[in-house]
Amino acid sequence: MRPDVSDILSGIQRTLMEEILPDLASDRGRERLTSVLFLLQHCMARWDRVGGFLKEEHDDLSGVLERIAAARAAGEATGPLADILREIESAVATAPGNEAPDAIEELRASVRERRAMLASLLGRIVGADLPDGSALAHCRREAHGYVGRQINRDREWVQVGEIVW
Amino acid sequence: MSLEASLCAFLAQQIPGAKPEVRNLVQMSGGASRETWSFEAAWTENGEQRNRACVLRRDPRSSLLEAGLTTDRSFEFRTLRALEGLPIPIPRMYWLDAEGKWLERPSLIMELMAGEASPPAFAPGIDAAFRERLSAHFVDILAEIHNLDWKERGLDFLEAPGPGRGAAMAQIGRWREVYNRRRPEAEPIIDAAFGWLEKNAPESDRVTLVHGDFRTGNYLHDEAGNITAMLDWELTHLGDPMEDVGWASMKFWRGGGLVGGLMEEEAFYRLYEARAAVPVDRARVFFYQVLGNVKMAVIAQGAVRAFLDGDGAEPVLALIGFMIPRLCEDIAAQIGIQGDK
Repeated sequence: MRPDVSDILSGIQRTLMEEILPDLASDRGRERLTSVLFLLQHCMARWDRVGGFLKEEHDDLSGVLERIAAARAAGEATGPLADILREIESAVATAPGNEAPDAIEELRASVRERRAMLASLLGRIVGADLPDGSALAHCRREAHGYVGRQINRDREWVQVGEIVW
Repeated sequence: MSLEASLCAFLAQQIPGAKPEVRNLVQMSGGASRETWSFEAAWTENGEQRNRACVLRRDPRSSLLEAGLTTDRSFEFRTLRALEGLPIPIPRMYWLDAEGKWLERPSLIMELMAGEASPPAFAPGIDAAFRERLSAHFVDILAEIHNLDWKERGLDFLEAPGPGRGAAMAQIGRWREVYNRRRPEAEPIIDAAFGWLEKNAPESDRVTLVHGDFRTGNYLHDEAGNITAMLDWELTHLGDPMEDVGWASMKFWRGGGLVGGLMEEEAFYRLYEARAAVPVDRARVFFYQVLGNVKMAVIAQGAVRAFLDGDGAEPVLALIGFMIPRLCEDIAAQIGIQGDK
């Protein structure tokens, strides 16, 4: 038998709590180590779910961007909003399928790229006066839908209690 | 060179002919945006022994606030010097190393003030008389800040925003710049919020000194409920006074639903109206509460960035990042993003 990641993290946690923390003389040192222990606790509870969490967001973003691209709303827009819609249409056309990468770093980069596109769109469309039933209004609903689902995912993911400033 | 030796050298340069000593130098806990140290300075001047209890506030290697963009030690130093003599309890500013030439990083040295540090929000159940006194003093100080004549006090160097929507747009521009420079990754809700803020930026009816971080948590107080020192002026600027009113009353800083854990939101507004003798524009306050949430989210993103960059070993910077989802949820509700639940 060899220790897995959970065993190692638990061992580090025990060492820090039982061996290092009691020997720290300064308030500041104890404060910092307490923050470290908090972070460690967070990692221990989630390290094995990082990939699943990212993949869920990746799939959601990919679906939203595909539906936005399919709406062909660029023609209804002008200026930077039209530019970002064309960018989304082009990105979806050149990378159809949206298969999520297996490697965490690649998955993270892919999520980051899709988030950036959606962020640009939201920044330009959030307060715009859009006719009901228009392709642009459809795109905004799609973007808002992602926001709501991501809030729920983040709420579940963070769950670290009340962080006080 | 040790910090103690650097301080001695700096003070010797500031007090010609003296041979200053630095005693009991201790780094204080808290202070995620600045390193804070307490110490005693002692020297002989014109044959007389002088002693000062001091606080050193020094830019950390990595900060929540981007030095040079959002804050400047000399602005804070000069502002507080200009406010001396007013009924605003502030520490006296002693010495400034604006460039960090002596103390490694930009720093200021100020008076160590008496009093207990306030929590971010007082818990329910504190003594009623204490709460009432503290609430009144809190609002009195805010009214004083907003009603002082900043031109007469020589605060023009803070650069007044333009008329109309100038104050709001200046703040949006400032924080968007921080977001673009410091974000670890795009956050769709923050981008959406900036779009909303630009569309809804209100006109201001007057320009005043704005503290920039006026809230429970940034003052010291005594047992009776008197504020002994208003601290953390690093975000001070000229702008719309409703910005401070909105910031202080943000949901983020509430305790038990009360503003700073002290008073109901409406009671806070009414007290402010009575003390400052100006009406509280609820719509403008709401705008600045949204901006406040965005500022906090941007600051938290900057903290994560600093942590990821590895130029600071402060674990609290990563913890601050956990606030981002909560802030984004509030922002989405405020600007009316109704997503799937």
